[in-house]
Amino acid sequence: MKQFYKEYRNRYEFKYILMLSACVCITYFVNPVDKVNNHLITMIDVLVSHRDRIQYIGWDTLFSNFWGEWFIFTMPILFTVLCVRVFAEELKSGTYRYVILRISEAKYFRRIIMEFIVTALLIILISVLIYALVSMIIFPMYPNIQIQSEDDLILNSLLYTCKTVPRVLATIVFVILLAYIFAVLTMDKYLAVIFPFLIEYMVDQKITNVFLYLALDIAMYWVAEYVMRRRAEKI
Amino acid sequence: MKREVWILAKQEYLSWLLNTRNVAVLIFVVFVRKAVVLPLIYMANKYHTVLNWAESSIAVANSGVSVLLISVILLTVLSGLPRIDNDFYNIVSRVGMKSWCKAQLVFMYLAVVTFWLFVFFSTWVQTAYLSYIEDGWSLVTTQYSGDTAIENLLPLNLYNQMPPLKAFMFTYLLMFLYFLFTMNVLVLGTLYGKKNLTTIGLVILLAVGVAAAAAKVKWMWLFPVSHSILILHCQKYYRAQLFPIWLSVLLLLAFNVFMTILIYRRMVSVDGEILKGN
Repeated sequence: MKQFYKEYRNRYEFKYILMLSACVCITYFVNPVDKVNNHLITMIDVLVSHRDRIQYIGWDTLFSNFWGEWFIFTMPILFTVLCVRVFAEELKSGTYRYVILRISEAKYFRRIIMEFIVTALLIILISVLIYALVSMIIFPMYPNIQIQSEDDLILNSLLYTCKTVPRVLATIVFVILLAYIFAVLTMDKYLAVIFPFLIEYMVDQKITNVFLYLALDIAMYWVAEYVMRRRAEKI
Repeated sequence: MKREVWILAKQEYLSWLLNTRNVAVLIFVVFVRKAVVLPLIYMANKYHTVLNWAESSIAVANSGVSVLLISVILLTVLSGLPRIDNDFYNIVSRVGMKSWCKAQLVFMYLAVVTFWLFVFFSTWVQTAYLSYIEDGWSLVTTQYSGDTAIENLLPLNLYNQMPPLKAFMFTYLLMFLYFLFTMNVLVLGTLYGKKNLTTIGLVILLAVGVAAAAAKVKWMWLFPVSHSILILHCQKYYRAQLFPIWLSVLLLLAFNVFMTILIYRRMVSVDGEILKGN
């Protein structure tokens, strides 16, 4: 664990993680939060042109749908771009060979996947913290009690979390594994970021069930392990 | 133009076209499909009507978020300008610095025109099958756009003020000039050895400009991106323009000519090591 942390710090700069978290955070602010004249308005609209609506936006609105369609849309790029850049450079320069000779390809594979996942989780965590901080500064610190009681709010938030978190995590793992596969196959950072984005966009149109995503994750894990093993055989 | 300039520019252009970095344009295609094309197609199918051939392309170039994304992708795919690789000194010693500079400028113009055409065609081709070729706005824009996303894409202050052909020509002229402006600034920054700083500066300028345009504040005209979005120039009902379109064209054009002269002067005297340092 200590070794992993040390290597992770050497390979990834925190400023880039922070930058990507800020980008992810922007996607939270472009979700619809209110309706004016039958038009859905985003949090940015509220801040820019409908400031009178600020008082009607409470915790329930802010924290019940922030992982919206723009988050899902941009996620494949924002969550993989940093790791793919580092990993593709390592593959292209050939330094991965020395690492594999030292610690078997299975360990190397697990380490890289772990780095991808840790980066994604860090980005989520930091972006949610930034979002919470900014929205608590801008919007009033009370729940929207005009609409629902406090118990309903807690129940709604719990339901939202139970429904959304597994789906988001399954999608992130899917995208990460795809990025890994394309990075190993092409050794090109651009292709390894764009192709998972396109595939995820198409898959997202067809699959909404979290269990299907989990099945895809398992299949992708197997493929990712296989392509790494094949590359390691060439050493 | 000298033959070697053209050959060098062609060579640079072909190697740029085959660069894997260009796959980034697919992000733009997917974004446009999601944000512009699908809502237009949905409305056209819902009311059993057709679209004008230029509507989707006009909508893309007049949305602040689209312009932001297009510009960022432009900066990504053309960030290698001027192209300096290991055979830089070899080429310069054979064709001369002036020819190399001219070739880089020709390459820049070719690349910008290609990207500009790509923006139009990639959008147009997605709605071409349900479009008509006439100089009149479709019913989707004029009658059925209320309470939908289309009202933001093709608003009243566009279809009330000019026919689609005129809107299309102005939109794409402004966009082209803006693309050139972006590339000119980037290349000039690169020639002074400040590529990263220039890129960050351009993105900040762009983001603040788009935010100012969205908020419709008066100082939005300080940002070049506001001059490149046609709908910001027009009012909903009055014919008088908030900022004259011809003045925006003139400003961008004058700035581009000035920058091109600066770039050429700098390129001729620049030290190759500064360029390689980028």
